[in-house]
Amino acid sequence: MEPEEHQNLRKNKISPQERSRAIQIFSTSVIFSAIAVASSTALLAIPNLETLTIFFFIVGYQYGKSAGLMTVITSVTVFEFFASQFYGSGGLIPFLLKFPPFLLVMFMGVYFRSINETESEFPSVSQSSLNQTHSKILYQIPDQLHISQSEFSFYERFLLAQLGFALTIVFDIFTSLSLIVFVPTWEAVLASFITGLPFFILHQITNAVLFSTFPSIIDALNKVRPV
Amino acid sequence: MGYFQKYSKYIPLQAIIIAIFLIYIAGLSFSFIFFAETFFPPPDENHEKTYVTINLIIESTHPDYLFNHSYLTNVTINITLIEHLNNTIGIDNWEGRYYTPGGWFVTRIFNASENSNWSWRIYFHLPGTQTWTYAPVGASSIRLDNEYFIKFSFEEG
Repeated sequence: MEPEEHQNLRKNKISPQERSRAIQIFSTSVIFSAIAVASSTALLAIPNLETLTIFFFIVGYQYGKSAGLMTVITSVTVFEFFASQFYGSGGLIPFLLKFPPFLLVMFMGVYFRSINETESEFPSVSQSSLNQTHSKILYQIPDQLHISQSEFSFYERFLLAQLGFALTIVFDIFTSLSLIVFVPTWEAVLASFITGLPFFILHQITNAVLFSTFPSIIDALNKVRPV
Repeated sequence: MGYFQKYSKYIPLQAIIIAIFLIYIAGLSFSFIFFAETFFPPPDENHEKTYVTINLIIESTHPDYLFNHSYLTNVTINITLIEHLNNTIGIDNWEGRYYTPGGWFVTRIFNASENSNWSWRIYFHLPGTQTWTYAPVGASSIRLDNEYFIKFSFEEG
């Protein structure tokens, strides 16, 4: 029989709010990982067109670094499996080198949220709503999901497109640097930059376009509220 | 609220983005400069000094003829074709390559019988055949089977 003291400690260890938040983080990361991996896998036939980056940014912005970290680790690992089936595996080192730039994307989302001085990661959960968590519905989607006029201005959309372009540059540079593990000469790395340039540009432009749609996605997400 | 005040919060982010762009452009520029010789190879001065221009005047559409000019060692041969042969012969400055069929190619051979030296030999090919032949040493023109006639000259450039 567990001592009463231990039971209380265990009970008080995670408050209902923390428990709810943990469930939200876990479910959010699972949902967004599934969306990111599925959409990127559907687009595998087009080289360097992926949606992982924009979704990492969205999760970092909307749900914070905890959910973002789980989403990045899950998505990159699972997507590597699908991408390897299509294009072949690049090996362990290039795979590991994908994490720093993707984490940077996610933390940029967190940073972008912080400079916009808006609410924290998840909408606050009231005690009454916590009682309803047993109803198995954590989120409620409104009957009609209108994409309203975004509060982001043209400049902010343009800034987001630039940010998507720049973050993709960082990603491309990081992944190209992995070549130095196999061919340890700067000539090889520089050559990979030049020969990969068409793919880089395609990657950067598509991500810039995807990032410019970020305000619309956030507006849609904001309409989905906890019960 | 003014435009600057409204968007001043984005200044650090915009600065980071511009810095990444500049690093990217600088890196790409450096890469292109690093490989500039690959994209734009400089002229080989040593070859230019020993440049020999051979002007081939071909008066036949079926050049089953041959040309061999010995004593040209370590040079690049520039061949200017006056007349195209079935549009299969290019005008180029090259060595050791060939076009088929109906073309010609240049190769470097070791002429042990003449002067124990390397020489250049130009082969002509008759379209529709597998025959490659070359001209005798010192010839300035060739007539074969009283039908086809090739006249050639050469000069140092």
